[in-house]
Amino acid sequence: MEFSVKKFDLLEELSLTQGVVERKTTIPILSNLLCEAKGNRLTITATDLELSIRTGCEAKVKKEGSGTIPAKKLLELVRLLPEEEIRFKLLENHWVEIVCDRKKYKMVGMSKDNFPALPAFPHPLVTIPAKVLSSLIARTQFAISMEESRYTLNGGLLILKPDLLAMVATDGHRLALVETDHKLAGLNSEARVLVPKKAMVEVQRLAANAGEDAQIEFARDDNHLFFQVGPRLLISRMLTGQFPNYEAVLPRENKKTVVLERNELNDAVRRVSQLADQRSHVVKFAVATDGVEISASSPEYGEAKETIDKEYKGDPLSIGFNAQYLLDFLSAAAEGPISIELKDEQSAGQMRPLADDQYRYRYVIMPMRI
Amino acid sequence: MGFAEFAGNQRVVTALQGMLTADRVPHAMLFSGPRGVGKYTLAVMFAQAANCARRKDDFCGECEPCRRIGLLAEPAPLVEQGLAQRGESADAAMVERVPLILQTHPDVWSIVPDPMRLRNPVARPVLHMGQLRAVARAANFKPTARRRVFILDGAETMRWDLANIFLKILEEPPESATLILLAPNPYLLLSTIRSRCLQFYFAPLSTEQLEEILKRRTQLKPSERKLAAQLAEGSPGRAMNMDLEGAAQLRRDVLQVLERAVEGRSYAELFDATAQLVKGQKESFENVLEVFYIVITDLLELAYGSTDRPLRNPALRQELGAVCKKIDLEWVAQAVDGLDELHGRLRRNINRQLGLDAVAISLARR
Repeated sequence: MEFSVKKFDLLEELSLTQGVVERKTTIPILSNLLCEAKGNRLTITATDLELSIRTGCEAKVKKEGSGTIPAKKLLELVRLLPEEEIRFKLLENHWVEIVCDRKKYKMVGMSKDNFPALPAFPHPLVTIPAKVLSSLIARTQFAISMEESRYTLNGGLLILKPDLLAMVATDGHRLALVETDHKLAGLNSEARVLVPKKAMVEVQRLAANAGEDAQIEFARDDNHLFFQVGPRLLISRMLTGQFPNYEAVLPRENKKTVVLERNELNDAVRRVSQLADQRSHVVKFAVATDGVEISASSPEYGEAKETIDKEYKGDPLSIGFNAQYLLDFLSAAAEGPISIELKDEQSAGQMRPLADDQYRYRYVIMPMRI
Repeated sequence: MGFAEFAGNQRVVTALQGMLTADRVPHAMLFSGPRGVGKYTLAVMFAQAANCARRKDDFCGECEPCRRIGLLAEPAPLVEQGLAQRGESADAAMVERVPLILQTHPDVWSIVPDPMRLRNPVARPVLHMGQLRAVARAANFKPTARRRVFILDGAETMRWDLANIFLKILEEPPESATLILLAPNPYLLLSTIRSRCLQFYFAPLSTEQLEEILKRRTQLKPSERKLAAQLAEGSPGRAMNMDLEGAAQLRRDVLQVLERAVEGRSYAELFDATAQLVKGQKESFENVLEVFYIVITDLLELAYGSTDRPLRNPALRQELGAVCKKIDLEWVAQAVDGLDELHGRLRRNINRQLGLDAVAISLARR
């Protein structure tokens, strides 16, 4: 293997692999990148066994072949090199020589045979605009469970219908659901896939990098999900298990509605939550005809109370929510009015941004005892 | 290649093959049996057969998955690589964050007790929380090929509070994964774990079977083969890697302790003999205790007359004969009680020399 690449090109691709490659592991091959030079292209592959990425850039290939290079050290070195051509050459015993101008380095690689084989990209199922998928992820990702034992909640459910795209995530205390109308060519029936959290993060990163109009080709086989973003391919193992039936928990009879401006609400909750109980983070919403009173108290620090004047015509009601859950949603929601829909003290509340015309976004949040 | 290579315990092999043929593989199995009897070897073979590209109820040993999984059969170099990768001076937090996992194929993991350091390993390597967490997490991902297999060697070294991490996945197992726990004795595991696993007991092999295996696989001379087979306690693994000289010496040392105790020699002499068993001993202390049981079994059989059964230590017949005249059933019962207690307390890291001294004193005939 012998090739040369431009530093700028290589650095960009290397940075994209960093989210996938294992920082520290006892399986040595996983901290290495597989580099393959063929035709006029260099292909770089990284994997942590759950998630793999295959990317590449143009290269002048003098001799085709492949080898592995320690990922982290390579990135750090390339970052420090000047903007010039970098030449790579595979030596004996898996050593790789890196030359840039009159600077010369040698790195210890490993046998490429140890590198796990990646599944082949099957026939693409649908093409989704990168911007749309990225928006779906941004609006749901925070609601994914951190509890490892509830593994079917460790990902977001992507729902593909011929004229609709949706994504749901929940941790059992809150649920984020976002839908958008979008014609998916070539899809005849509904498909549901559970996308692991780490894959969601990486898809978003790739989408951000690919620019405004990029398209993502999505495919799956029995055990893997594939996201092809331009020349870059992300492969994730699927999670086993069934995502819970989320439709059943969506509230239907939340008729007590009050509409507040997002920024106003966000600021109020942030201020009030400073004095919320440190363990439960509970803030209380008291809705009455003269407005909404948001309050919190903690035995150590004191108490907070803010009132937002707003017209409201139903029966008064007070309900407690976790402030962090509210803030997560408010920072993901579009600016403008937010409708807060409640039923009673014990039932889940629902929030919807009203000004978001492209995405139908619903956030269901369980109340806390106050 | 294939299951035919596996020596002994055909009953277990047949059962495993039956599961693969019927495509009804349990989510958790517990292999128990003496050290070196082939639990780990068979677990790796099972992983190969479950993922072999060519065959369904057996494995070819030549296809890519077979070859890669087969590399797990020699865990020592992989452990060494893993520890080197993590660094020699890993602290406790690092050991949890970067768990020691051996994998040569993405779907098959082997988890062994973590010795923590390469040059200067800890005395009692145990399975760590990080390792168990990693398994519990990975089991929820689908395999790249057919089946995910996780082999947990030394499952008895799990701390009991950590073993509970597994309860969830043993209770609601993902279809595509199988956990294989290996332990010398099923009762060293929590009953909650035990009851959720399909259990297989690996019986020791006969001396003749062992000699046969040694003849096929090693270069030993006939007399050495015979000795190795006698000393291996039915374990092919032990027979093949045995330091004959050391093993024979260990038995003489153990007998010496018992002899001095029975004869009521002075404490100085007694403690001299026990010290030899603890300090500078290559064998682990658990194995030394095991030899105690073996020697005492021989003494009991000699003293109470089952002359037709072959001794476990035929080389020591004369010395054993001398000691057996001075013991009775009560002494044997006391010795076994003392050793059992010592064995139980090893889990709590007691001082081995003192523990053994105490047992030896209690056996003195006054």
